[in-house]
Amino acid sequence: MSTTFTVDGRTVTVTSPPDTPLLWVLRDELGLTGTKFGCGRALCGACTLHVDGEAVRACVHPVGYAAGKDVRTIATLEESAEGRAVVDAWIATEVVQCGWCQPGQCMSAASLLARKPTPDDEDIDAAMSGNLCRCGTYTRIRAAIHEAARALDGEADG
Amino acid sequence: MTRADRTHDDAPPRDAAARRDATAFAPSRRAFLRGLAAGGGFVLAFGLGDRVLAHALSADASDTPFEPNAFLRIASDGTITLFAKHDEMGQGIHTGLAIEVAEELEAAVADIDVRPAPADRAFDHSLYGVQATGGSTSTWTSFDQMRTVGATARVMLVAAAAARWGLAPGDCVARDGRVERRDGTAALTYGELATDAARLPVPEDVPLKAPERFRKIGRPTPRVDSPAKVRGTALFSYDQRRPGMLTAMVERAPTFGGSVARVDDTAALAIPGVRRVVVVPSGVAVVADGFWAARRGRAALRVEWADGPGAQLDSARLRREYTRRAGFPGNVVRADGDFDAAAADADRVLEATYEVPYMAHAPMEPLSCMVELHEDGGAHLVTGSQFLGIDHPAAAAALGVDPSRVTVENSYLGGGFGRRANPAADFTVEAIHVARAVRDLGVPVKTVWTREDDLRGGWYRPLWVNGITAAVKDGRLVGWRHRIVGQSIATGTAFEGAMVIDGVDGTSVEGAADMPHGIPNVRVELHTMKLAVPVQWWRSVGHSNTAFAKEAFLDECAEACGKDGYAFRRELLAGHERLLAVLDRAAEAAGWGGPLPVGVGHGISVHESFEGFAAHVVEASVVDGRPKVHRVVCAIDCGQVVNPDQVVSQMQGAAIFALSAAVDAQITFTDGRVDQSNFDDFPILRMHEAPPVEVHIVDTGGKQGGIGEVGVPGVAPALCAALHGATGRRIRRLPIGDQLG
Ligand code: FES
Ligand code: FES
Repeated sequence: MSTTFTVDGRTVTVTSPPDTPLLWVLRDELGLTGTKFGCGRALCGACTLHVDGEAVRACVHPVGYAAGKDVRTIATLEESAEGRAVVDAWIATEVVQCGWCQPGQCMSAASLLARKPTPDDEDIDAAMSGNLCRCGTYTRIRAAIHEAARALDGEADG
Repeated sequence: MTRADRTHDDAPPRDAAARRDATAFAPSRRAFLRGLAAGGGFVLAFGLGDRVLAHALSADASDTPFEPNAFLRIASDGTITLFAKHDEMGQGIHTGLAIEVAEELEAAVADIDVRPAPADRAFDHSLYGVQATGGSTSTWTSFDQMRTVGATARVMLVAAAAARWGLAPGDCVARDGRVERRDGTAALTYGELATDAARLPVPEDVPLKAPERFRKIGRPTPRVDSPAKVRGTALFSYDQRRPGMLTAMVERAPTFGGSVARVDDTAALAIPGVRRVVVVPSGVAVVADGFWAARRGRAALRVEWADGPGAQLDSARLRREYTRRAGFPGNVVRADGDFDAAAADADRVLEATYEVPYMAHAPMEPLSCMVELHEDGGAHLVTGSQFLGIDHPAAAAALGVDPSRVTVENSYLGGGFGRRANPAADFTVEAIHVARAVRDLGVPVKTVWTREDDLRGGWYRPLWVNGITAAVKDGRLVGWRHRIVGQSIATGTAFEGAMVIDGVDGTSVEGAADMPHGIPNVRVELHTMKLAVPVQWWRSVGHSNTAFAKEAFLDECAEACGKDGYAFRRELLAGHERLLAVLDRAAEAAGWGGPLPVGVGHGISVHESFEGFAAHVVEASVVDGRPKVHRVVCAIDCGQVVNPDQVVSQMQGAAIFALSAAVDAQITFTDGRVDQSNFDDFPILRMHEAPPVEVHIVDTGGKQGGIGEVGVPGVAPALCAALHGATGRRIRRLPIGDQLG
């Protein structure tokens, strides 16, 4: 049995059983390790990626559900305007500590900005509270999201 | 023997001691250097005491990378590689080490490719004498060494350029990755000079810049690892893959010290992708094609366990027993004056019991270690460790071979907080046992941990109970007795000899035995408990307990003396300039004494740990019976700062880490089993609960000290003082949980 979908714009056919979480298909079968593992139970957000534009937790998302869909990981996040703004802001704001949670944080943040281009602090709380950071980078994540929103706003004006 | 070996061996040692060192550490270093020198190389290694040990020249004269020491390599294409002796687990040390080198090398930090050093004695911790990252020591213990690394290379590059031009070295100057003629007529890049520099003798006693001349140290420098980590391309241990690699997951005994009685692996082996089920000393390992098959296979195992000594563990009972002990005299650690007489003569005697729970490190990246066995009995390990100096010999011992047969490669660490510095090399040795059990498969095996494994796997910060008694006379604190009850971390480890003195583990009493406050009669006592729970250093170690008990109880004493917490501490700390400096800065920045919104309280603390000095002001209230933290303001004095933005980042992260431990997270036992399993029942702070953390760096011109752990201890007591201000209720036990409900 196989499942076909696109990952970061590339069509793949995988043989893992369809109930295998997308996370392990990406990491183990396809060797794409940009999507991280922190809990396996949709509690930490480290595995966040986009399926047809929606942020999902890949650790509980069966690969079968991805059949025929467009899966985007951190590897191509910068192909979207929000994604680029997020990555730039993350680097400029020096958000990173250990970094393990950060691809997932960026995926959630980009998804927020796509829905809500100028989020306020409450929007950020709501959108980001599913992404844990054990290193405690929340202050800077918040600042980086505001920074990304400003950059996107500037682009839109320009 | 390769030419690299020969030249290394032939190089004359500087003295007899150097010869001994070189001999002792030669095998693994040679293996390492050989790897580096592929295609030509030149290495000089700094051994213990930063002494230059030897040159190791290799091969192709035409294209010889310049490797002035085991840390640094400059290729003829200009690539500069720094092998980081300290592990990058978020604290920004790869960048810090690069700044220290770049300052003297006269190269841009961004042009240095920083890689984790493999296991090798060349990378021993300058103080601990073993390859390790911990104790908030990386920056200050490497400061002179790394600057020397850069300066030595620079002097050699300048000499090479001078020789090329027929000038005196003084007529040349190194700047931004090039050596220029002072007359401005020519310049050569470091890459162009690498081969020539590789042939020069290594200078000794190279002078270092005076701090006034620093151009990089002390200024904010972007982290070297940020872009790769944000883009998901940075390699962590969990991400490491090798062709044919299998993934193993171990079902460990549900009680500490338990063992396998019987295994039924029929259902597990029927899961597609499961290759083997093997019994190893720590439990039953399922070896499979990948994580998911391993996990499904493990879930299908039927294992009967023989209970171990941990089967009786029960948190409620432990807490009662610890509290009872706190009522009796313990091993005396400090006795200034006469506490009993002071208490007898006091106007008032205050007494309280403070308590912190077992605590898991829960690094965001769970543990893993890959083992590739060699035919000669040795192995190559790929791991994410803070403690290669322990893991490496432990791996060799588990394999029954000389350490020279074992190589260990490190990765970025997805958080450590002490967990990856395991004194028993637990996850390393276990991975070796798993790989050996399936040796016939002939492929690398990566043993991975889940979050449940991590939280239930032991090696916690110990449960500690403190009985504190204070004597107050004429509105002053005249007596202080602090009894600490808890397990010893160092006992039973290789560090016992150094760390446990006269039955007292220094980590159990740090922050209490050395409290500097001006109290005439001080008595500190310790009860060391022996239990089956494996315990370990957790970010800030003993200070995470002692600072909580000390600072929170000082607040009770301040109230009894009718004084404000800030003023009270100022009096008690008279003469301790660095503590006072951070205390004043935090109070001032937080607007201490100013009005607070209704329902909001504030608390203050100041504590020295790991040779760093930190003060915290926390503002908090109670909403729906739960603590709400509005703001944290902290000040730190760690001496000469290398990268100020990363000091800020560490203090911010430490505050959040400490709040998680103060508010909800804990490890408890019922019937010998750990009650927690994942981030639902081990909750750490989330975005909507995280307050802004404001950081102020204070430099009083004192000695360099720690940072990473220093920001943790003072947070919980300041929070509890703030909650007392807000509600009038004292919290004496962490986590706060629903105690305010
Ligand atoms: S690993 Fe998927 S949410 Fe934690
Ligand atoms: S940066 Fe380490 S967990 Fe977020």
